[in-house]
Amino acid sequence: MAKHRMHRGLVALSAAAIAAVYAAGYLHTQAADASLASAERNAAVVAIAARPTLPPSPTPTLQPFAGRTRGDERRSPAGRGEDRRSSPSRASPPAPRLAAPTVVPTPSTSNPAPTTASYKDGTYTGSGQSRFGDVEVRVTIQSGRIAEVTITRATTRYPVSRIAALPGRVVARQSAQVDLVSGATYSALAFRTAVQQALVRAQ
Amino acid sequence: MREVHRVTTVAMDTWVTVQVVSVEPPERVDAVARRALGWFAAVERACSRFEPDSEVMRLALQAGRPVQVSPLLLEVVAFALELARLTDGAFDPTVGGVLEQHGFDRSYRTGATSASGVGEGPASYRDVRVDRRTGSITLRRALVLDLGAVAKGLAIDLAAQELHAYHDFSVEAGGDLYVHGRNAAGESWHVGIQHPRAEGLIVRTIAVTDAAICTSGDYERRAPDGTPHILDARTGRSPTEEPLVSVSVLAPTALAADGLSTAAMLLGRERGLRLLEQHGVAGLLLLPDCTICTTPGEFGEPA
Repeated sequence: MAKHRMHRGLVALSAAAIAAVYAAGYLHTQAADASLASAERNAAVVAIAARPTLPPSPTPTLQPFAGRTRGDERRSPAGRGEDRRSSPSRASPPAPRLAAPTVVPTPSTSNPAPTTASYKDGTYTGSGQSRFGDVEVRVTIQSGRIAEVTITRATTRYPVSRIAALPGRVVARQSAQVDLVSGATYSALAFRTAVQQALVRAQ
Repeated sequence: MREVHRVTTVAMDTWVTVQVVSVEPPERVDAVARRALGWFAAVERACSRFEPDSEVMRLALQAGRPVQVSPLLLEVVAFALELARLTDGAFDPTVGGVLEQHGFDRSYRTGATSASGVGEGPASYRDVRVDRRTGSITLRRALVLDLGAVAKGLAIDLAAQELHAYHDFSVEAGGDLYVHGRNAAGESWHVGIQHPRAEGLIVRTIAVTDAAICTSGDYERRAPDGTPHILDARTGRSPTEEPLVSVSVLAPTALAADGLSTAAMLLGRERGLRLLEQHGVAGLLLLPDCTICTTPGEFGEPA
């Protein structure tokens, strides 16, 4: 962020925009609006094994669906200091552990069912694969509409594990020391495929 | 003991991952990480062109009068308009209608079309007025705003703000990212720039901290007719002058890095480089023959 530094032009403008939005406590003010829907909306869950070391593994351990969680209570920005709390150090190195489930907003009430047909109530599954990850989802239909999309299994992988022939003149090689990769947006195509497969079954 | 806590979700049609390196108990860290990820949903509800009842799509149906909007939408639109002004309209957030016509109109969640059909006439960023005093936006004609070049950057920055109690963390969304502090090994974060033509290859690695890196490219997202998703609003086509394959921008905020990388893609090599330098950010541009060209300074050594 732009603390204690002077920035020019768009960078300064961006820092001001972020500060304004954050200060407005948008999430907080939206909480009332969202809370009604949050039970359905924030229902999808990804559970991915956390690795104790970086860089990200190309094949993270799969973990089963860990249970439905509700969206976290939003706090006003003023209350945030309390997160910093010391914790006792551990006596022994911890085993790799599961990351806590993550909520994925689902379409819920805001989702337009395709105009062709409403869906049959029930729970349906679908799966999808892509080079960036595989995913299995469970879609719950209530009253003909999507009430919940839950990710029941997911892998994500960075594509840095494979070495292809070098096109062009870029001298490139894989670095073992890469924490993160920046590239044009990877579409979550696997997720979409999985949801659509489930919806086909719901028709 | 420092541990890496990692949580991942799907938002904005991509994978979003927060990593926090901390000695705190997992439940604590994960709760904050989930709250950080919540910003992606908030930005999406305001800015997504693919959800018919997002704030920006409701705005599209109310041309001709001031519409009260959330601070989030107000700020992100104001930023996009400034970027449009600075690029003389090469970047233009009113390109949404054109993108719809090219078939960029599907919800990644359901596959349902979100095409509003309202933005089919010619439109420009000059048709959009932001009034900070009243907190409103006026569309002077029917048009669809596409905030795809800036919304993800904003969400990354907001998530990073939410994590400010921690020193060492990263927020990554589909190849755009912000890193703070140190990685698990106690070093600066090592960020690879993906080769746009050879999956799995990295053209350069840069060690950074307290900075965002965002990449725009002509790969990864194409319409059913093959059109890449970055279009010059003035022509409705991909840029043809001095075309670039990808632009990565290193900046203090992801919002600036996201917007400027898209703008530089549209401007081409010379004007793109100039824009990045004017705004004091570092850029790495990949040309069609796969050579690299950078702004002076800090974009790392060849991988």
